Amino acid sequence: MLGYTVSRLLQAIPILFLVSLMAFGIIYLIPGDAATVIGGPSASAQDLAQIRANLGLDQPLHVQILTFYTNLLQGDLGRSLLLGVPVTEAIIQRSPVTIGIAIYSLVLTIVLGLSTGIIAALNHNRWLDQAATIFALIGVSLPNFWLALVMIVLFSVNLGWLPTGGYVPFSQDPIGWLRTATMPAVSLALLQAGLLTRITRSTMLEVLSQDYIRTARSKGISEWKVVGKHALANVMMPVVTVLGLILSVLLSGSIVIETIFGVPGIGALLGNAISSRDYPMIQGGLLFVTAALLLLNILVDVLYTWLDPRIRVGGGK
Amino acid sequence: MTQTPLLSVRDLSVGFPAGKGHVLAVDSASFDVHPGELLGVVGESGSGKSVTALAIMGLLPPTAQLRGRILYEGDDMLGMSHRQLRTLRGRQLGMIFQEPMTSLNPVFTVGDQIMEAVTALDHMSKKAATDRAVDLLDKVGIPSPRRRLEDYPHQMSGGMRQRVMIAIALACSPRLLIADEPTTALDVTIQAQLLDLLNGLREELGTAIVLISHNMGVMAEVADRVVVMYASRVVEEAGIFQLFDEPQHPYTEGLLGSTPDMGEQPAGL
Repeated sequence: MLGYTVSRLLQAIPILFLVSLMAFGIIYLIPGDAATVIGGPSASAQDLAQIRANLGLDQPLHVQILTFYTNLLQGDLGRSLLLGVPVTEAIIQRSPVTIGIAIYSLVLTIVLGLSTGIIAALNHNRWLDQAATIFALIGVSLPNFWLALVMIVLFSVNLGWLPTGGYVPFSQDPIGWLRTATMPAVSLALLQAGLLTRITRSTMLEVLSQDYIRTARSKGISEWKVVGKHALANVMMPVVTVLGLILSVLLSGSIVIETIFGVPGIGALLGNAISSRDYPMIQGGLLFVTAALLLLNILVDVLYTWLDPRIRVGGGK
Repeated sequence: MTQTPLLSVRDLSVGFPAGKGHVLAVDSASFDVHPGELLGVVGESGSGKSVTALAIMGLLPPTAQLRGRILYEGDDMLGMSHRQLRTLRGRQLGMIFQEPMTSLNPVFTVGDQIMEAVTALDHMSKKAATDRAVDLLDKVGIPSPRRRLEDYPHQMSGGMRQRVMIAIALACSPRLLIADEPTTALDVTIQAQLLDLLNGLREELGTAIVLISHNMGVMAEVADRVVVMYASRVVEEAGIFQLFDEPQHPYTEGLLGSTPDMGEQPAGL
């Protein structure tokens, strides 16, 4: 178990290296000269030279790479061109916002997806099953930005229940946080919940037809225990596997959603950085999001092995 | 026999929807099981043996259509509520399935799964339940039972798992045990051990056993009476000696004829 965790962490290193190389290369992907693009048409030759010097672009390539990695290993991702603050500082400042909404959204996804999937499986081929399947289909079909806009029109403009955007930190005002975070979280969660409903439903149906479920019933234990203990423990394994996927879609979806709702998280930070060509910020954001997703996926994989005694205990025959 | 039967199956028919119509898996089957006897049910694959067993346990899928009566001590089980059936399963009936490899839940320890059967309907302390589980494992012949409680099913062989299944089925000291081809998936030496075990338990605990098998040799060894099923119907019901001496139905005759007789093998082989 520990060995597995360590080996997974070691495997992450080459991936991170590759991504950091891509992050480094972003600035060279700009057609023409990066300094001209950043400086704009009105920049003088002196400005351009200054920009190049700031970005280190006047150095030979190997020096640039060396400087990039030396700084990276020290946690220095450069300075944001747009905000004028260190990239690391901006990310650290903004990440609690995104993490909070992501957790909220994940909880909604799991509660909604699992329960709908289980209810559908237990009512196989009846109207509740069909209703759940339609819900899942709507969930996976609706683009989340469209859903976000419709929710703003409905709940903010017409009904006036929730603010159209903005953000209140949880530590300042939990109710205010809930009011501002709910629509972003819901619009992110619905797609994932649809996906999770489908997976839970099909896994549950498969598990319920297994021999060990029949054994459990033959003992005379309650149906609640048959489903809630024997079936659910086996359903959780495939579900945990897709959690990694769900988390990555949640994070990438947050760029659009945070921009729509004006939530000052990592997503909005990255969105702004992209539209204003804030290259150090894009590099830093890319690295941060990749590292976070890698860690979360490793966590999910370790959780999976922990859930399955056939892997955890070993000694199979 | 004149004593009242423990279980009485009367005109039991079981159908399953298939396409636009439905198939009849069991067609008007009738037979009795008396207290403490070992009733063999023989027949080829698809003759309706397992479906009959599952019907008695009330474990058929909800799509199954049942007609007739299954009387347990005179009460019709088909008319019982889920709750009544569950209580009956927890206190009076036990079942051992054909596939020991898949019949245990892979994510719980065998101890947990046995103790769950022990405490399904009776509240008892964890220690009492553990002791009972150790007793049961000991009874079914698993060495160092207390240690094996912590094992997961995948850490045990097929024969061991089937012993655990028997322990689970015996957890509530059932009066009727249904064993659906309990030895089919296991090798021959383990088969003999398990049959001895079942027979011993019957003698010790007075449990009536319905043993389903397609093996006439097994029946000859342990059964008191045999029910022969063929093409979804019960075609013959007779005492074991009567069945072997004067089979009434041509299928039974064929079945007996197909059993290899080890005695006739040439000496020296």
